Amino acid sequence: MKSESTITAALVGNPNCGKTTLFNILTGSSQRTGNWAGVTVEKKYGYAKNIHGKNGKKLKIVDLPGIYSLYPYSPEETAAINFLLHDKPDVIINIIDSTNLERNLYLTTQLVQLGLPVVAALNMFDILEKRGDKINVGLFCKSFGILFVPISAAKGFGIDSLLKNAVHISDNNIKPESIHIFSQQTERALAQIQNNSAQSISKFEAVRLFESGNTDEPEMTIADERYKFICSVTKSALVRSKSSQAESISDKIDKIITSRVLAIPIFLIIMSLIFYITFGTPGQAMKNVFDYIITDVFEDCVKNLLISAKTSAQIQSLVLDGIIGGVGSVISFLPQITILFTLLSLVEDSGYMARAIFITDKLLRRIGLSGKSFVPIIMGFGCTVPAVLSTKTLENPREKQLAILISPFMSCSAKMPVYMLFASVFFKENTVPAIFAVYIIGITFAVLTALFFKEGSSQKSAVFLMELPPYRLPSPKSLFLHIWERIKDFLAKAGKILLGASIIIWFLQSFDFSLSPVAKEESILSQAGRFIAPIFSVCGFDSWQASVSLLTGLAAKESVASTIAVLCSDTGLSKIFSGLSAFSFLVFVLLYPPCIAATAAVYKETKSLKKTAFSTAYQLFSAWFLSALIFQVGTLIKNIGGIL
Amino acid sequence: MIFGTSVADILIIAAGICSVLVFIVNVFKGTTCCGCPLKNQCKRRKNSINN
Repeated sequence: MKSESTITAALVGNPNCGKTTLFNILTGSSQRTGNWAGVTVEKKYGYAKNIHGKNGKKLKIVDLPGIYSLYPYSPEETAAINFLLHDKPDVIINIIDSTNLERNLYLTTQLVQLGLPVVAALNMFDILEKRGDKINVGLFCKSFGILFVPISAAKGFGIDSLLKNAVHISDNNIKPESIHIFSQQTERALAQIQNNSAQSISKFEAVRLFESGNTDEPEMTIADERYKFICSVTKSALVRSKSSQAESISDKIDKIITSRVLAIPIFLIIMSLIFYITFGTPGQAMKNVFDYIITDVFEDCVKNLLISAKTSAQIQSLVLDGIIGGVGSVISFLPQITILFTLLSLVEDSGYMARAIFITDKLLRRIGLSGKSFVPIIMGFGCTVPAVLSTKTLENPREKQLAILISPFMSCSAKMPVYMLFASVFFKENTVPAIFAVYIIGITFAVLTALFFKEGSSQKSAVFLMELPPYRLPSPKSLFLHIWERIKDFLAKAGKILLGASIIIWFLQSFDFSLSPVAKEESILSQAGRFIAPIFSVCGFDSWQASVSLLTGLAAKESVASTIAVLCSDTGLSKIFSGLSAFSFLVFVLLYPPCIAATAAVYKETKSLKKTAFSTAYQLFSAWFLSALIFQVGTLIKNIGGIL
Repeated sequence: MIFGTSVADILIIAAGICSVLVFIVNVFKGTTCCGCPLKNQCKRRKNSINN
């Protein structure tokens, strides 16, 4: 809805041209950015700081998903285009990647024909200058009939000028000057269509009518003439330096990294390195330091404080066993989680993540998915909720359902504390291989699921277009922001979910139904846990403690670790698990539904209770079946080994 | 009295009750967005062009 008190400015541009980076700077938001296409899947809006239009109007900035042209290929592109054509923003801010002018300007040739005020931002202008390219901005303005403002969203220059011009253009309703993009013959035909139309139509609408014949010829003529126009403008307005014409360093690196033979081994080496640094000696050393601070220094301080404040024994147990034991057990993994986030951010910011998507496209196609599905899958390693929501970009409904079904099998960051807690007790010598095995089981199970459900689908995977960004040295500021956001979320979750959950668990394991303090074995929780425990006897973990922790894991996966830490604070994990049952427990944690929020996200995306119930039931059954299989086969091998 | 009656006891019980309430609100109202990189974005659907 348009409002009289606001100016609506839409950020429009090709995927990965820096729209969200600019949006974050303009509005002070911290929306997710990435250097691969499809990061923005929905329209987002915010208000620009420190700038107002006529009569104090506020400037509302709308960040739209990236589009290559005004003819959509995917649902998120349709959404962006519908906003432009039907909601008609007061001003369009067309973000152009200056390092890829020809491709980006195609959309500009369409935007200037919409009849709406447009201002163009030549983003990444600093990179263009650094390359030594010379650009005649004035000639661009004259040729396209709109204002071009050089900016760098990453460095923050030119943004004030862009905003002032956008507000000025909107306040004065300055529409693009009439320009001739097409040949004389086509221009005459378009003018005729506009004149013959009963109501006033924009030039873009005239083009659409011109193209709407039975053959593809008019459409091809229009596209061809648009590119000819762009070529003629860039030829005279852009002087490329010798270095930018030569093969870039990125191209040289790509020849090795994305080569047919080396691509997969390099990908595996990088992933293994990330694993080793996070879960191996470096991560473990940092974890031990943090552990010492929490369990020895902090816990002792709190204990002394509680004693000097003359608190009751129950309250001391609540704080020490319930809160510090529960929340602390998860928080102690913060160093390793931080290392993982740092490494993943490095991979992403350097431009390698986009290559990883490209490399896996061929593999994913074999299981009925396209490279585009890699985005939800890779996001699944962070959090299942955005992973499921990002399937919005998948055009093929079958592929979308498949991606929704398999994303929860990826090991989200919330499962990490559980893996690490168990690995530190049962797989001390083989921490990296044990955790790696769990990750691989998740990926393998996802592939098998995809192959199983792929049968019967006759639809081919949608065409996947992706641009590889140049390799860049990640900027410390953006790296820090990425990591800080994730740590902040992790700590917020500890405060909002784990703290409350740990207190409830402590209460239920300390009292019976008459609220009298009892031993854990006679508590409310043990009685409830014993009720469901038999289901898991075949999986090797039929203790009430394990059952209860799995139940609390439905609220948030980290709760499994905090709950089991509270419940086993006196006995230790090894009393209720063997090495084998601990591993089958980890497999159960890996495959059963990630959390309530993820299940809600599945419902939001599928809009079907039936599909959501199927997805949840499939996850529960898979978890139970596979962990039972692992335990039974493991026991069998052990027994045979014992006999021999 | 299960928990004792010192000032520290009462303060800790009050803080504990608040934490449990925060937990209940977060879980049962579905606002488990902390930890999710999308924050509350998915709930702003009425503003979404898709609706």
